[in-house]
Amino acid sequence: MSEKVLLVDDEKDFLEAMSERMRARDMEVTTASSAKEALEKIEQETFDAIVLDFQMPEMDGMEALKSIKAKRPESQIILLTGYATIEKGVEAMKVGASDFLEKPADLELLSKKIKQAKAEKMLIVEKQQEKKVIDIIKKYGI
Amino acid sequence: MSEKKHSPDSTGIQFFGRVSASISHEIKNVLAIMNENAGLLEDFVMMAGKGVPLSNERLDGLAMALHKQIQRADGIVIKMNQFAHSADRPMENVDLYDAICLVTDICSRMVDLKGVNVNTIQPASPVMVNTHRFYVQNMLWSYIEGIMTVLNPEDTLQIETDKIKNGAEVIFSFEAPRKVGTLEIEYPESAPLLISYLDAEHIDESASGTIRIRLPEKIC
Repeated sequence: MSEKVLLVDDEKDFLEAMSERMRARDMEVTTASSAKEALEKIEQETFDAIVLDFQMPEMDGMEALKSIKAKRPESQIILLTGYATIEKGVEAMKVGASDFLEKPADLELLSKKIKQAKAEKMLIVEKQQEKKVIDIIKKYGI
Repeated sequence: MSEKKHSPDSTGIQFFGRVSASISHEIKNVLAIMNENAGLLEDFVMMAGKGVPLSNERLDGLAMALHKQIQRADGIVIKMNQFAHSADRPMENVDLYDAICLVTDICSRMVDLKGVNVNTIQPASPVMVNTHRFYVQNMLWSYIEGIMTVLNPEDTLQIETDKIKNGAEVIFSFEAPRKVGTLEIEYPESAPLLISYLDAEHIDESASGTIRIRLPEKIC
């Protein structure tokens, strides 16, 4: 089954080229050119992974990351940045990023990280469903 | 100790560092796009190896996309070079409109991140002052950065220059005077230091959405 990815970057030329390459690798890609647009898209559907530019106009990657996590805590977010410093990486992980990659990114490495993110998300969703079932069993004393 | 910390040299180094970091980010973005276009080309070659015919139109499109990014990177590097050379001479005749344009160009990414529109107005004839080009640019950025603290995304900051008796004026006008009454413009620490170093004068008409900087014809 293909990975469903939301790619967020304010550089439209980057979005076009990267999404075409990802689709050629059987990924189902949706693009957003701003954090605001990305937040609207995650309201409408769910994604296996969100690849997010760290610095964007109006709302930067860190703020966007917090907002996405608040709306969809199970989201797996991979941040893309011009300069991946340890401090930035630690800060992003604390806020809930799954991974952190430097631009220009190696697509094969990014694809691997997207697959890992999907597996991680499936685990989280399974656990959430398990908990729901346990809660129902407890509630009705089955 | 504190005097040394706040000298124009130290604020100048900070300014140079911030501009360099911002420009290197811009170049990274260009490289990222070129990287993806090169990757697409590799994908096309790989598909051609599997018998999928190469499309001339797609190849042409890729070549154009690469040219576009090369021109973009060239523009960034030309501006960076101009900016680096602005510290070459302690004193020279400076066209204020040119200085404003260079600052708004090299700092465009920092302005874009804030979402503010900066509009520069060319004077009818050149407005010249004999001053330190680098520190004038540093002062201009300090004011843009300060004024942006009271602006919202989509607001416009207009910058123009005018000749006055014994010097020139840089006029910053913005569309958010309503906020200035309740919000103080937070200028960087460098702003008053640079005003003093450049023998300039700060005229605050922020309640009506204007800040004027008067520069002498020549620094003493």
